[in-house]
Amino acid sequence: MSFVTIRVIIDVASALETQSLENCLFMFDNRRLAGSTGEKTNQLCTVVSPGEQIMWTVMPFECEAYVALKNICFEGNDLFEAKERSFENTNVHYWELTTPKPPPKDAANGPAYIYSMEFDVGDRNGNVELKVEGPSLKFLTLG
Amino acid sequence: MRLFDDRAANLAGDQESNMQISIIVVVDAAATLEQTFLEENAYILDNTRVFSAFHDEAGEKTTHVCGVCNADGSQAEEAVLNWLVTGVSSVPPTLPRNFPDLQITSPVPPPSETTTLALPMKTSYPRDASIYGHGSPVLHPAGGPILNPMGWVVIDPGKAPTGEDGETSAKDEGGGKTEAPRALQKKSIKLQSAKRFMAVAPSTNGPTGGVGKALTLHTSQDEHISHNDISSYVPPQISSIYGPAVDNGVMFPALYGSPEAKTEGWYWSASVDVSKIGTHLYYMDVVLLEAQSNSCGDGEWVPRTFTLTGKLAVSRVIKRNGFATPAGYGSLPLRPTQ
Repeated sequence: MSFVTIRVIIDVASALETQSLENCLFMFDNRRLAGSTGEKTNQLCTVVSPGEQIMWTVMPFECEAYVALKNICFEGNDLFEAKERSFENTNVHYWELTTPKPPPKDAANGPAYIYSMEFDVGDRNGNVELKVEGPSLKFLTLG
Repeated sequence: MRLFDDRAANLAGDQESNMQISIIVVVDAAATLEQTFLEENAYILDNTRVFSAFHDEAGEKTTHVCGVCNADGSQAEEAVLNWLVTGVSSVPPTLPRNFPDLQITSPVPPPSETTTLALPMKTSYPRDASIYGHGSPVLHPAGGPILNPMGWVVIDPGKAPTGEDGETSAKDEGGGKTEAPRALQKKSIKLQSAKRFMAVAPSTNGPTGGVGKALTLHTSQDEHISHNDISSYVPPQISSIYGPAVDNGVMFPALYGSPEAKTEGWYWSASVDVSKIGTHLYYMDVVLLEAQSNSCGDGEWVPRTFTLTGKLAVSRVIKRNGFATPAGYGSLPLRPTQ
Protein backbone atom coordinates (compact mmCIF):
# COMPACT_ATOMS: atom_id res chain seq x y z
CA MET A 1 0.00 0.00 0.00
CA SER A 2 1.51 3.27 -1.04
CA PHE A 3 0.06 6.66 -0.46
CA VAL A 4 -0.73 9.67 -2.56
CA THR A 5 1.33 12.78 -2.10
CA ILE A 6 0.16 16.14 -3.27
CA ARG A 7 2.70 18.92 -3.21
CA VAL A 8 1.51 22.50 -3.34
CA ILE A 9 4.08 25.12 -4.24
CA ILE A 10 3.26 28.79 -3.90
CA ASP A 11 4.94 31.91 -5.23
CA VAL A 12 4.38 33.88 -2.06
CA ALA A 13 5.81 37.18 -3.31
CA SER A 14 3.52 37.19 -6.33
CA ALA A 15 0.54 36.11 -4.26
CA LEU A 16 1.07 39.00 -1.87
CA GLU A 17 1.55 41.42 -4.73
CA THR A 18 -1.60 40.39 -6.54
CA GLN A 19 -3.57 39.40 -3.41
CA SER A 20 -4.52 36.29 -5.29
CA LEU A 21 -3.32 32.75 -5.83
CA GLU A 22 -4.09 32.97 -9.53
CA ASN A 23 -0.94 31.90 -11.42
CA CYS A 24 0.84 31.67 -8.10
CA LEU A 25 -0.12 28.19 -6.94
CA PHE A 26 1.11 24.98 -8.50
CA MET A 27 0.09 21.47 -7.57
CA PHE A 28 1.71 18.14 -8.23
CA ASP A 29 0.92 14.57 -7.28
CA ASN A 30 2.53 11.17 -7.72
CA ARG A 31 -0.37 9.71 -9.70
CA ARG A 32 0.26 11.20 -13.12
CA LEU A 33 0.83 7.80 -14.68
CA ALA A 34 -2.40 6.57 -13.13
CA GLY A 35 -4.35 9.32 -14.85
CA SER A 36 -4.10 12.49 -12.78
CA THR A 37 -4.48 15.65 -14.81
CA GLY A 38 -3.66 19.28 -14.27
CA GLU A 39 -0.12 18.85 -12.97
CA LYS A 40 1.58 22.19 -12.39
CA THR A 41 -1.74 24.01 -12.22
CA ASN A 42 -4.17 24.91 -9.45
CA GLN A 43 -6.76 22.55 -10.91
CA LEU A 44 -5.06 19.28 -10.20
CA CYS A 45 -7.33 16.27 -10.47
CA THR A 46 -5.79 13.43 -8.51
CA VAL A 47 -6.67 9.83 -9.20
CA VAL A 48 -7.14 7.87 -6.00
CA SER A 49 -8.18 4.41 -4.85
CA PRO A 50 -10.57 3.45 -2.04
CA GLY A 51 -9.01 3.37 1.40
CA GLU A 52 -5.94 5.23 0.27
CA GLN A 53 -4.05 7.83 2.26
CA ILE A 54 -3.50 11.22 0.73
CA MET A 55 -0.98 13.69 2.06
CA TRP A 56 -0.81 17.40 1.21
CA THR A 57 2.39 19.34 1.82
CA VAL A 58 3.02 22.98 1.06
CA MET A 59 6.19 24.82 0.27
CA PRO A 60 6.94 28.41 -0.75
CA PHE A 61 9.16 29.43 -3.63
CA GLU A 62 11.59 31.08 -1.27
CA CYS A 63 12.54 29.49 2.02
CA GLU A 64 12.27 32.88 3.74
CA ALA A 65 8.61 33.28 2.82
CA TYR A 66 5.77 31.97 4.91
CA VAL A 67 2.72 30.09 3.74
CA ALA A 68 0.52 27.62 5.57
CA LEU A 69 -2.42 25.51 4.51
CA LYS A 70 -5.22 26.20 6.95
CA ASN A 71 -8.11 24.21 5.60
CA ILE A 72 -9.14 21.69 2.98
CA CYS A 73 -12.85 21.66 2.38
CA PHE A 74 -15.01 19.41 0.23
CA GLU A 75 -18.13 21.52 -0.30
CA GLY A 76 -21.39 19.77 0.34
CA ASN A 77 -19.65 16.46 0.80
CA ASP A 78 -19.01 14.74 4.10
CA LEU A 79 -17.41 11.69 2.57
CA PHE A 80 -13.98 13.22 2.79
CA GLU A 81 -12.48 14.70 5.91
CA ALA A 82 -8.97 16.06 5.80
CA LYS A 83 -7.09 16.53 9.04
CA GLU A 84 -4.13 18.67 9.88
CA ARG A 85 -1.06 17.02 11.33
CA SER A 86 2.50 18.07 12.03
CA PHE A 87 5.81 16.36 11.64
CA GLU A 88 6.95 15.28 15.04
CA ASN A 89 8.54 18.01 17.14
CA THR A 90 8.36 20.53 14.34
CA ASN A 91 5.98 23.26 13.31
CA VAL A 92 5.85 21.96 9.78
CA HIS A 93 2.33 20.85 9.05
CA TYR A 94 0.71 18.63 6.50
CA TRP A 95 -2.82 17.49 5.82
CA GLU A 96 -3.93 13.94 5.42
CA LEU A 97 -7.09 12.19 4.37
CA THR A 98 -8.09 8.59 3.90
CA THR A 99 -10.44 7.96 1.01
CA PRO A 100 -13.58 6.02 1.87
CA LYS A 101 -13.60 2.29 1.47
CA PRO A 102 -15.77 1.06 -0.10
CA PRO A 103 -15.91 4.03 -2.45
CA PRO A 104 -19.08 6.13 -2.85
CA LYS A 105 -21.77 4.51 -4.96
CA ASP A 106 -21.39 6.96 -7.80
CA ALA A 107 -17.61 6.71 -7.91
CA ALA A 108 -17.74 4.21 -10.74
CA ASN A 109 -19.08 6.86 -13.08
CA GLY A 110 -16.06 8.97 -12.46
CA PRO A 111 -17.23 12.18 -10.84
CA ALA A 112 -14.55 14.46 -9.52
CA TYR A 113 -14.83 15.48 -5.89
CA ILE A 114 -13.85 19.12 -5.87
CA TYR A 115 -12.24 20.75 -2.89
CA SER A 116 -10.92 24.14 -1.87
CA MET A 117 -7.82 25.07 0.05
CA GLU A 118 -7.33 28.09 2.29
CA PHE A 119 -3.93 29.52 3.07
CA ASP A 120 -2.31 32.02 5.36
CA VAL A 121 0.18 33.81 3.15
CA GLY A 122 3.03 35.97 4.25
CA ASP A 123 2.74 35.64 8.01
CA ARG A 124 1.09 33.65 10.72
CA ASN A 125 -1.28 36.40 11.82
CA GLY A 126 -3.83 35.74 9.13
CA ASN A 127 -3.36 39.15 7.56
CA VAL A 128 -3.60 37.67 4.11
CA GLU A 129 -5.90 34.71 3.69
CA LEU A 130 -6.21 33.35 0.19
CA LYS A 131 -8.28 30.55 -1.19
CA VAL A 132 -8.20 28.37 -4.25
CA GLU A 133 -11.05 26.23 -5.51
CA GLY A 134 -11.06 23.62 -8.18
CA PRO A 135 -8.58 20.84 -7.41
CA SER A 136 -10.30 17.52 -7.12
CA LEU A 137 -10.08 13.84 -6.36
CA LYS A 138 -11.29 11.15 -8.70
CA PHE A 139 -11.57 7.46 -8.05
CA LEU A 140 -9.66 5.17 -10.34
CA THR A 141 -12.09 3.55 -12.70
CA LEU A 142 -11.62 -0.17 -12.64
CA GLY A 143 -12.39 -2.52 -15.48
CA MET B 1 7.28 41.74 -32.27
CA ARG B 2 6.45 43.51 -29.09
CA LEU B 3 9.65 43.67 -27.11
CA PHE B 4 8.60 45.18 -23.87
CA ASP B 5 5.71 44.88 -21.57
CA ASP B 6 5.28 48.10 -19.63
CA ARG B 7 4.79 46.49 -16.29
CA ALA B 8 7.63 44.09 -16.78
CA ALA B 9 9.93 46.85 -17.99
CA ASN B 10 9.08 49.03 -15.04
CA LEU B 11 9.56 46.18 -12.66
CA ALA B 12 12.85 45.13 -14.13
CA GLY B 13 14.23 48.60 -14.30
CA ASP B 14 13.27 49.31 -10.75
CA GLN B 15 14.88 46.19 -9.39
CA GLU B 16 17.62 46.56 -6.89
CA SER B 17 20.89 44.93 -7.67
CA ASN B 18 21.20 41.17 -8.05
CA MET B 19 17.68 40.06 -8.76
CA GLN B 20 17.35 36.68 -7.12
CA ILE B 21 15.52 34.22 -9.29
CA SER B 22 14.21 31.05 -7.67
CA ILE B 23 13.99 28.01 -9.89
CA ILE B 24 12.10 25.10 -8.39
CA VAL B 25 12.57 21.71 -10.00
CA VAL B 26 9.87 19.25 -9.00
CA VAL B 27 10.63 15.63 -9.81
CA ASP B 28 8.18 12.75 -9.91
CA ALA B 29 10.80 10.18 -9.02
CA ALA B 30 8.55 7.12 -9.16
CA ALA B 31 7.34 7.96 -12.66
CA THR B 32 10.87 8.80 -13.76
CA LEU B 33 12.20 5.45 -12.61
CA GLU B 34 9.28 3.63 -14.16
CA GLN B 35 9.62 5.34 -17.53
CA THR B 36 13.39 5.79 -17.26
CA PHE B 37 12.77 9.25 -18.60
CA LEU B 38 12.89 12.54 -16.75
CA GLU B 39 11.91 15.25 -19.19
CA GLU B 40 8.16 14.70 -18.91
CA ASN B 41 8.28 13.76 -15.26
CA ALA B 42 9.90 16.90 -13.96
CA TYR B 43 8.48 20.37 -13.76
CA ILE B 44 10.35 23.66 -13.62
CA LEU B 45 8.85 26.63 -11.82
CA ASP B 46 10.32 30.04 -11.31
CA ASN B 47 9.34 33.52 -10.28
CA THR B 48 10.01 35.19 -13.61
CA ARG B 49 6.62 34.93 -15.25
CA VAL B 50 6.28 38.69 -15.22
CA PHE B 51 9.17 38.93 -17.65
CA SER B 52 7.80 36.38 -20.08
CA ALA B 53 6.55 39.11 -22.39
CA PHE B 54 10.10 39.81 -23.47
CA HIS B 55 10.35 36.67 -25.50
CA ASP B 56 7.88 35.18 -27.85
CA GLU B 57 9.48 31.78 -27.85
CA ALA B 58 8.96 31.17 -24.18
CA GLY B 59 8.50 27.56 -23.31
CA GLU B 60 7.30 25.86 -20.20
CA LYS B 61 10.77 25.31 -18.86
CA THR B 62 12.12 28.73 -19.75
CA THR B 63 13.41 31.00 -17.04
CA HIS B 64 13.19 34.62 -18.02
CA VAL B 65 16.13 36.65 -16.85
CA CYS B 66 15.67 40.34 -17.20
CA GLY B 67 18.93 42.13 -16.71
CA VAL B 68 19.59 45.74 -16.05
CA CYS B 69 21.96 47.95 -17.97
CA ASN B 70 23.07 51.52 -17.65
CA ALA B 71 21.85 54.23 -19.98
CA ASP B 72 25.03 53.87 -22.04
CA GLY B 73 24.33 50.18 -22.56
CA SER B 74 26.98 48.89 -20.19
CA GLN B 75 25.91 46.14 -17.83
CA ALA B 76 24.69 47.49 -14.53
CA GLU B 77 23.96 44.38 -12.52
CA GLU B 78 23.99 40.63 -12.80
CA ALA B 79 21.11 38.33 -12.05
CA VAL B 80 21.38 35.39 -9.69
CA LEU B 81 19.68 32.05 -10.14
CA ASN B 82 18.98 29.75 -7.20
CA TRP B 83 17.83 26.18 -7.80
CA LEU B 84 15.80 24.18 -5.37
CA VAL B 85 15.00 20.61 -6.28
CA THR B 86 12.35 18.58 -4.57
CA GLY B 87 10.45 15.40 -5.18
CA VAL B 88 6.70 15.12 -5.37
CA SER B 89 6.80 12.43 -2.70
CA SER B 90 9.93 13.29 -0.78
CA VAL B 91 10.15 14.95 2.59
CA PRO B 92 9.24 18.62 2.35
CA PRO B 93 12.33 20.81 2.14
CA THR B 94 10.73 23.01 4.78
CA LEU B 95 11.55 20.43 7.41
CA PRO B 96 14.53 21.36 9.55
CA ARG B 97 17.58 19.46 8.48
CA ASN B 98 18.05 17.99 11.91
CA PHE B 99 14.62 16.38 11.81
CA PRO B 100 15.13 12.98 13.43
CA ASP B 101 14.00 11.04 10.41
CA LEU B 102 16.31 12.91 8.12
CA GLN B 103 19.99 13.24 8.70
CA ILE B 104 22.28 14.29 5.93
CA THR B 105 25.83 13.08 5.91
CA SER B 106 28.46 12.53 3.33
CA PRO B 107 27.83 9.60 1.07
CA VAL B 108 31.31 8.41 0.35
CA PRO B 109 34.19 8.00 2.74
CA PRO B 110 37.77 8.39 1.67
CA PRO B 111 39.01 5.01 0.43
CA SER B 112 41.13 4.44 3.51
CA GLU B 113 38.18 4.67 5.81
CA THR B 114 35.77 1.89 5.27
CA THR B 115 34.15 1.76 8.62
CA THR B 116 33.20 5.31 9.28
CA LEU B 117 31.44 7.97 7.32
CA ALA B 118 33.36 11.19 7.27
CA LEU B 119 31.42 14.42 7.27
CA PRO B 120 33.58 16.86 5.37
CA MET B 121 33.45 20.36 6.69
CA LYS B 122 34.15 21.63 3.23
CA THR B 123 33.21 20.03 0.01
CA SER B 124 34.03 22.18 -2.92
CA TYR B 125 32.71 21.52 -6.35
CA PRO B 126 35.67 20.21 -8.34
CA ARG B 127 36.68 22.82 -10.84
CA ASP B 128 38.70 20.66 -13.14
CA ALA B 129 38.30 18.95 -16.45
CA SER B 130 35.84 16.51 -14.97
CA ILE B 131 33.46 19.23 -13.93
CA TYR B 132 30.91 17.82 -16.31
CA GLY B 133 30.99 14.49 -14.59
CA HIS B 134 27.35 13.88 -15.33
CA GLY B 135 26.92 12.07 -12.07
CA SER B 136 29.87 9.76 -12.51
CA PRO B 137 32.52 9.63 -9.80
CA VAL B 138 34.55 12.79 -9.83
CA LEU B 139 37.90 13.03 -8.18
CA HIS B 140 38.04 15.65 -5.55
CA PRO B 141 41.14 17.80 -5.71
CA ALA B 142 42.14 16.38 -2.35
CA GLY B 143 42.21 12.91 -3.83
CA GLY B 144 39.19 11.14 -2.44
CA PRO B 145 36.27 10.15 -4.60
CA ILE B 146 33.07 12.06 -4.29
CA LEU B 147 30.14 10.71 -6.11
CA ASN B 148 27.88 13.49 -5.13
CA PRO B 149 28.80 16.39 -2.86
CA MET B 150 25.27 16.81 -1.63
CA GLY B 151 25.03 13.81 0.62
CA TRP B 152 22.43 11.09 0.90
CA VAL B 153 19.72 10.59 3.39
CA VAL B 154 20.73 8.38 6.25
CA ILE B 155 19.05 6.51 9.03
CA ASP B 156 20.64 4.57 11.80
CA PRO B 157 19.80 0.97 11.04
CA GLY B 158 20.78 0.07 14.54
CA LYS B 159 17.49 1.52 15.54
CA ALA B 160 15.60 -0.25 12.81
CA PRO B 161 13.03 -2.10 14.80
CA THR B 162 11.15 -5.27 14.19
CA GLY B 163 8.23 -3.68 15.95
CA GLU B 164 5.80 -1.04 14.88
CA ASP B 165 7.81 2.11 14.99
CA GLY B 166 9.67 2.73 11.80
CA GLU B 167 11.27 5.91 12.97
CA THR B 168 15.02 5.99 13.01
CA SER B 169 17.66 8.60 13.33
CA ALA B 170 21.28 8.77 12.44
CA LYS B 171 23.86 9.38 15.09
CA ASP B 172 26.01 12.38 14.74
CA GLU B 173 28.82 12.59 17.21
CA GLY B 174 29.82 15.97 15.96
CA GLY B 175 33.33 16.99 15.17
CA GLY B 176 32.88 16.00 11.57
CA LYS B 177 32.49 12.30 12.19
CA THR B 178 29.37 10.26 12.01
CA GLU B 179 29.25 6.81 13.47
CA ALA B 180 29.01 4.22 10.78
CA PRO B 181 25.71 2.44 10.52
CA ARG B 182 25.74 -0.94 12.11
CA ALA B 183 25.45 -3.88 9.79
CA LEU B 184 22.18 -3.59 8.00
CA GLN B 185 20.10 -6.60 8.67
CA LYS B 186 17.47 -8.19 6.59
CA LYS B 187 14.72 -6.87 8.75
CA SER B 188 11.39 -5.62 7.83
CA ILE B 189 10.25 -2.24 8.94
CA LYS B 190 6.60 -1.75 9.25
CA LEU B 191 5.53 1.43 7.62
CA GLN B 192 3.59 3.14 10.34
CA SER B 193 1.82 5.79 8.39
CA ALA B 194 2.33 8.55 5.90
CA LYS B 195 4.12 10.47 8.62
CA ARG B 196 7.15 8.28 8.38
CA PHE B 197 9.55 8.79 5.58
CA MET B 198 11.99 5.97 5.37
CA ALA B 199 15.51 6.17 4.13
CA VAL B 200 18.57 4.04 4.32
CA ALA B 201 22.26 4.41 4.79
CA PRO B 202 24.71 4.20 1.95
CA SER B 203 27.04 1.28 1.95
CA THR B 204 30.52 1.84 3.23
CA ASN B 205 31.85 -0.92 1.04
CA GLY B 206 33.27 -0.51 -2.38
CA PRO B 207 35.30 2.24 -3.94
CA THR B 208 32.51 4.15 -5.53
CA GLY B 209 30.10 4.16 -2.66
CA GLY B 210 26.74 5.64 -3.21
CA VAL B 211 25.16 2.20 -3.16
CA GLY B 212 23.34 1.52 0.03
CA LYS B 213 21.55 -1.26 1.70
CA ALA B 214 17.84 -0.93 1.75
CA LEU B 215 15.50 -2.60 4.10
CA THR B 216 12.54 -4.45 2.82
CA LEU B 217 9.52 -2.41 3.70
CA HIS B 218 6.21 -3.90 4.57
CA THR B 219 3.08 -2.12 5.58
CA SER B 220 1.31 -3.00 8.73
CA GLN B 221 -0.95 -5.13 6.57
CA ASP B 222 2.09 -6.94 5.32
CA GLU B 223 1.70 -5.54 1.85
CA HIS B 224 4.69 -4.55 -0.16
CA ILE B 225 5.37 -1.05 -1.27
CA SER B 226 6.76 -0.87 -4.75
CA HIS B 227 10.43 -0.15 -5.08
CA ASN B 228 9.70 2.94 -7.10
CA ASP B 229 7.49 4.30 -4.37
CA ILE B 230 10.27 3.72 -1.85
CA SER B 231 12.67 5.44 -4.17
CA SER B 232 10.38 8.42 -4.50
CA TYR B 233 10.63 9.21 -0.79
CA VAL B 234 14.30 10.12 -1.09
CA PRO B 235 14.82 13.72 -2.20
CA PRO B 236 16.31 14.02 -5.68
CA GLN B 237 19.45 16.09 -6.06
CA ILE B 238 21.12 18.02 -8.83
CA SER B 239 24.67 16.83 -9.30
CA SER B 240 25.67 19.00 -12.21
CA ILE B 241 24.60 22.01 -14.25
CA TYR B 242 26.24 22.37 -17.63
CA GLY B 243 25.58 22.96 -21.30
CA PRO B 244 25.72 25.82 -23.78
CA ALA B 245 24.63 28.43 -21.26
CA VAL B 246 27.66 27.54 -19.16
CA ASP B 247 30.07 26.99 -22.03
CA ASN B 248 29.21 30.36 -23.52
CA GLY B 249 29.62 32.23 -20.29
CA VAL B 250 25.97 33.12 -19.94
CA MET B 251 25.80 31.76 -16.42
CA PHE B 252 28.32 30.60 -13.87
CA PRO B 253 26.83 27.87 -11.68
CA ALA B 254 28.34 26.50 -8.52
CA LEU B 255 27.38 24.70 -5.36
CA TYR B 256 27.03 26.88 -2.32
CA GLY B 257 26.72 25.67 1.22
CA SER B 258 25.01 26.74 4.33
CA PRO B 259 27.44 27.96 6.95
CA GLU B 260 26.02 25.40 9.33
CA ALA B 261 28.12 22.35 8.71
CA LYS B 262 25.71 19.88 10.22
CA THR B 263 22.84 20.82 7.99
CA GLU B 264 24.87 20.83 4.82
CA GLY B 265 22.49 23.19 3.10
CA TRP B 266 23.93 22.70 -0.33
CA TYR B 267 22.22 24.38 -3.19
CA TRP B 268 23.06 25.36 -6.74
CA SER B 269 23.35 29.01 -7.58
CA ALA B 270 24.57 30.90 -10.63
CA SER B 271 25.20 34.47 -11.63
CA VAL B 272 24.12 35.47 -15.12
CA ASP B 273 25.88 37.72 -17.60
CA VAL B 274 22.83 39.62 -18.75
CA SER B 275 24.64 41.15 -21.67
CA LYS B 276 24.26 37.79 -23.44
CA ILE B 277 20.80 38.48 -24.72
CA GLY B 278 18.91 35.59 -26.24
CA THR B 279 17.74 32.09 -25.40
CA HIS B 280 20.28 29.66 -23.99
CA LEU B 281 19.99 25.99 -23.16
CA TYR B 282 21.42 24.31 -20.10
CA TYR B 283 21.23 20.82 -18.67
CA MET B 284 20.80 19.54 -15.16
CA ASP B 285 21.84 16.10 -14.02
CA VAL B 286 19.33 14.92 -11.48
CA VAL B 287 20.29 11.98 -9.30
CA LEU B 288 17.66 9.66 -7.92
CA LEU B 289 18.28 6.74 -5.62
CA GLU B 290 16.58 3.62 -6.89
CA ALA B 291 15.79 0.84 -4.47
CA GLN B 292 16.66 -2.49 -6.01
CA SER B 293 17.08 -6.05 -4.86
CA ASN B 294 20.29 -7.71 -5.80
CA SER B 295 20.85 -11.38 -6.60
CA CYS B 296 21.36 -12.19 -2.93
CA GLY B 297 17.99 -10.76 -2.08
CA ASP B 298 19.48 -7.78 -0.30
CA GLY B 299 18.12 -4.37 -0.97
CA GLU B 300 20.37 -1.86 -2.61
CA TRP B 301 20.19 1.82 -3.40
CA VAL B 302 21.54 2.51 -6.85
CA PRO B 303 22.09 6.11 -7.92
CA ARG B 304 20.44 6.85 -11.25
CA THR B 305 21.24 10.02 -13.14
CA PHE B 306 18.80 11.61 -15.49
CA THR B 307 19.16 14.75 -17.56
CA LEU B 308 16.72 17.62 -17.59
CA THR B 309 16.84 20.50 -20.05
CA GLY B 310 16.23 24.06 -19.03
CA LYS B 311 16.31 27.33 -20.87
CA LEU B 312 17.31 30.84 -20.02
CA ALA B 313 15.79 33.72 -21.95
CA VAL B 314 17.96 36.74 -21.25
CA SER B 315 16.88 40.27 -21.93
CA ARG B 316 17.56 43.60 -20.33
CA VAL B 317 16.20 47.05 -19.68
CA ILE B 318 17.73 50.34 -18.67
CA LYS B 319 18.18 50.85 -14.99
CA ARG B 320 15.77 53.38 -13.57
CA ASN B 321 15.29 55.09 -10.29
CA GLY B 322 12.34 53.58 -8.45
CA PHE B 323 12.44 55.79 -5.40
CA ALA B 324 10.31 58.88 -4.97
CA THR B 325 12.83 61.68 -4.94
CA PRO B 326 12.71 65.37 -5.79
CA ALA B 327 14.45 64.44 -9.01
CA GLY B 328 11.56 62.19 -9.89
CA TYR B 329 11.76 58.85 -11.62
CA GLY B 330 13.95 58.29 -14.60
CA SER B 331 17.08 56.71 -15.90
CA LEU B 332 20.05 56.58 -13.62
CA PRO B 333 22.16 58.49 -12.82
CA LEU B 334 19.77 61.23 -11.80
CA ARG B 335 20.76 64.80 -12.15
CA PRO B 336 21.35 66.50 -8.82
CA THR B 337 18.59 68.85 -7.79
CA GLN B 338 18.93 72.22 -6.10
